Amino acid sequence: MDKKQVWLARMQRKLRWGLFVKWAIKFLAVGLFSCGLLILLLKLVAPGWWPYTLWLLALNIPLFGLAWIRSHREVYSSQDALAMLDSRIGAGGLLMSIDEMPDTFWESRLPELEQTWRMAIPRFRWLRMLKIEAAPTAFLLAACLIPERTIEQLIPPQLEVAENEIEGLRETLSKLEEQQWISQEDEEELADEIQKLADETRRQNLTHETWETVDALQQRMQQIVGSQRMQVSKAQGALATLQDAIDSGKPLSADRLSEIEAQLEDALKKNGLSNPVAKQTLERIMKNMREGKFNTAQQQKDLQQALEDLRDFMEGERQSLEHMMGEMEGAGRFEGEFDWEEREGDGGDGEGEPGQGGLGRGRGDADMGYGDESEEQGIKFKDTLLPEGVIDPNDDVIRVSLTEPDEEPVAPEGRAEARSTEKATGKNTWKRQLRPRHREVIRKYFDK
Amino acid sequence: MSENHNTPGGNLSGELLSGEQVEASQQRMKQLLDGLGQAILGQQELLESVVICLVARGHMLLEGLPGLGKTELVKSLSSLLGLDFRRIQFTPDLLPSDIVGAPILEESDGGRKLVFHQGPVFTNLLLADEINRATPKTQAALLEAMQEHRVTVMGTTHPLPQPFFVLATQNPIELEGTYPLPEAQVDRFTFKIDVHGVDSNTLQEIISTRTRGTPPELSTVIDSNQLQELFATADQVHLPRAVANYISRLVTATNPKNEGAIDAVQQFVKFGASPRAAIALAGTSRAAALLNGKPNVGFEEVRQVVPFVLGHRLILDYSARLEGWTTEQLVETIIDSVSEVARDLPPDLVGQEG
Repeated sequence: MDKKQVWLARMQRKLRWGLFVKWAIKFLAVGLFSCGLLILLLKLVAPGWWPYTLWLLALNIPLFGLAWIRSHREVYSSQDALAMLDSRIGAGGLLMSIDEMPDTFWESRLPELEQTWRMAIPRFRWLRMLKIEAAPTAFLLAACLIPERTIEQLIPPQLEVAENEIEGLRETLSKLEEQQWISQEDEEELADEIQKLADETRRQNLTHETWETVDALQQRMQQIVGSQRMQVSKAQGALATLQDAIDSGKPLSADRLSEIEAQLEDALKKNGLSNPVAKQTLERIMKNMREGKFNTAQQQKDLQQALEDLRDFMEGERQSLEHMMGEMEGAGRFEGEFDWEEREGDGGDGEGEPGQGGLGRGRGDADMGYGDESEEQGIKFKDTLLPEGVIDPNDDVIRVSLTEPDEEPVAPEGRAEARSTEKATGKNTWKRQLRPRHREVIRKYFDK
Repeated sequence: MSENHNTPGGNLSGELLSGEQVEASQQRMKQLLDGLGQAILGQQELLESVVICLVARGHMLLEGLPGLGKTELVKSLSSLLGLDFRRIQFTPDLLPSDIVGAPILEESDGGRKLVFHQGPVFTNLLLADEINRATPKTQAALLEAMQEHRVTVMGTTHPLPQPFFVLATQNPIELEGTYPLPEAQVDRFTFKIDVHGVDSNTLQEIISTRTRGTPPELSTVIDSNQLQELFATADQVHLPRAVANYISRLVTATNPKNEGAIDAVQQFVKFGASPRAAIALAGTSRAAALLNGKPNVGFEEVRQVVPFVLGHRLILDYSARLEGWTTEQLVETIIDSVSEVARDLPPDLVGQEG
């Protein structure tokens, strides 16, 4: 093989590689872009699969084979390669002519310098190749680096409200249990009811029935606390009777003492069990009273001390119950004393008029005055004269006790209180139950 | 490696010209050039084109302003070649018979008969001065002579002496009373060369060395036989297939109906070059290669003669005139757009610098 044929072969090889690289770059760019696209799709549709998609990069290897096949379809003819080489070495057509008509004389006129021939062989444009691959590679990397899609548990607002309510119920129940004001049976029953309510709210949207269930549970717990408070009140009354008896020095009848003892024992019972210390004190008092051991100064002093201990105990219980009741009635919307000086929207002049606006909706006990209503609202919400709300007679609890009636009757509890026409604040207003007709009017106004 | 060893067209010998043949031919052509250079100063490129066209046995149309030496060039050429030379000054009342000749009624031997009297076309070198001043009918009288090297009068065909060249001149100004050459006749001219003025140094040399502008007496440097040898040698110059392919793509590129035609051609060219143009390109490229001392045609020889061959063969659309395009500009655009090799390098390869 003479010199020109060697260089011609090199030229042809270079051209063949050039064609292969041309197609390989194209196929690789498409392959990388497709891989990136697939990774993005998988991250979107099946995020867990994405690490396995890196194996897709292996699919790019056969693309080089395809590029090789594709480049062979358009391979340069030897005539083209010869013409290129002729032109690049500046032979002026002599190389082509010698190839077609061999002639030793003219072949000797071809360039002698090897450098001339070497310079005629084209070289690869690496920078161009990198530029072409840059965009698909960047896209692939970006696709790999984009974080996987995470499905956030979006809690609907109504579900959040229901969960808050249920959490409140559970907290209240927990406090009742902690203070041993609720029997084991009642506690289990209430816990079961609350759980059912929680399950229901997860399955379906909030309805008025849900709210009614919440109210019923709250009322049930309020009733338990109220009952405990009543027991404590009666016990405090019984203690006052004993104190009067000691002060006057007149012994009480046995029946009366038994009744008082029963009342005090009832009050001392928590969760069905009596407080042992308080019970011992009570037994000591009752024994002394039955035996009439309260005439001497020492006896009176001892008895007074025992009564004082019981009174303190009962007072502590009463305060705890009052606090609990307050919490249940306020339902955590507002805790502590309301600061009239710092209320929202108040100009600071101490007028104290409710419903004066501000950032909030104003006080809950504000009159429902609607100003600046639109015409549409005015048309929709026409004045309707409604019958006065009445207390549901079913809510009247007739209690029978052996003691004298309290001077101040126990405030209406539960639903009866909720329906009271007295001013209320916060959650009480929110939970105030209305008769169906009233409810219909309000729904008509607020519904779109 | 050498897959195409069959003889390409135009070289029947099947081998390249020898170095001696090429050198001798180049020497004769250079003698001719030197001789013309003594008569016509400062027009080297024009003279080379004239010699190339002559060796390719082509007819030539010289266009230029009066006084640029067109006629003098042709006269000098006839002197150097030792060929018979005739000149026809074309005028509007010139008749075809004034060119090709006419039968004349003569008395001889007691009788009368028509005797054909040859016109000035019966010569080796015919100067058709200001050819566009004659009517188309008269211009057409040259058609058969230029293409077939013969004339037919009264049903009788008369061959012209060999070699036969027509060197026509025309004036691009004073267009009133002129008749532009028909496309068919223009196509028969192998070269159309625009003759331009010379620079001040050349002018100074002319007025310094020439009394009354008379050129020096020229002696014959190539006789008829040598010229025939030169023609034969030019025919044997090898045309590689890739170069032939380049010529064919160049000519095809002038056709506006060709799918691959560039925008300028599609927009401004009404009719492209004919196959005769491709033949002329190949022939003149061979002559150019011989002048360059080569046994073969290269791409550069083709590019060298393309403007003279294709320029007058492109019929431009009226829009070209509106847009200010000339045939020269179009030919340059075509040369730039057609690559030497049918296929370019792959995009990821590049030729190395220096």
